[in-house]
Amino acid sequence: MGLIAREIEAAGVPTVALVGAWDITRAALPPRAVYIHHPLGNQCGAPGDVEGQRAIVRSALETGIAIQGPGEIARLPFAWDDPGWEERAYTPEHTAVGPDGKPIRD
Amino acid sequence: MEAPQDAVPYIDRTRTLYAKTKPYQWVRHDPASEPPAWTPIAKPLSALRIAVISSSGVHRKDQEPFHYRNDISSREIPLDTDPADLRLSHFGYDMTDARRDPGCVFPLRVLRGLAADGVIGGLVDPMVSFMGGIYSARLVRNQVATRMRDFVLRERADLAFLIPI
Repeated sequence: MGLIAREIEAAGVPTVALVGAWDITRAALPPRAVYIHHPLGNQCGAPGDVEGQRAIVRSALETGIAIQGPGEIARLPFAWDDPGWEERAYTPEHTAVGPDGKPIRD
Repeated sequence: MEAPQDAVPYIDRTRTLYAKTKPYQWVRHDPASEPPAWTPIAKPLSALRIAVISSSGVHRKDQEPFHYRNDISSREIPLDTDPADLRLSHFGYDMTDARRDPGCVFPLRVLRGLAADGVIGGLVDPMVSFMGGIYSARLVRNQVATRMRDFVLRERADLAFLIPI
């Protein structure tokens, strides 16, 4: 999405990206990014938590439009309520899920 | 800019996870020689009409699902879509929660609420979705990025809100 953000911004429309992968974002370098310390697939929050999702999306937009210069990655003040999730994310037991609901691995 | 110490090293873990397949080529831009473009934001949030672009692989149940590798198509999700009619097809993330509630990755419901309450100025109808696991940066640059740019320009959006996966 970094390429898309850069293309849109270059055409004269500002962009804000709500991201969960800091390293991928840093490499792609979009104009404005807000980082949330949640697993990929939960950038907007937890299932069924509409109030929490609203708070995250609102904060992402407010924080994103306040960014002062190109390439900044601002951090949102939310934490994922599952201790140790960082160690499990994107490991073979907790990775992509195919249409059959099973993890996809090679 | 230093990575936060608690950030998950997704690039390294992807290399490990898919060690047997052709490596995903992450797009890299050098901050010094390839800084992003910059367009100032001239209005407050309450006056911004926002175009939303998601690469979560969300689609309506009456639309064709995304297939897996290098599907560069996109889907238009009208704002009046019932969230219960949303489905997901993507291979690049754990969709357990998003399949229970697509709002985890595609905040249709809460953005409609923020627009109705005047927190944001409005939403472009439709929201747009594609499947972010595209292995060809050339295809993203030449086809997806230009299509999304043209969509945002045609709709005269004040801001594009991107939710990448």
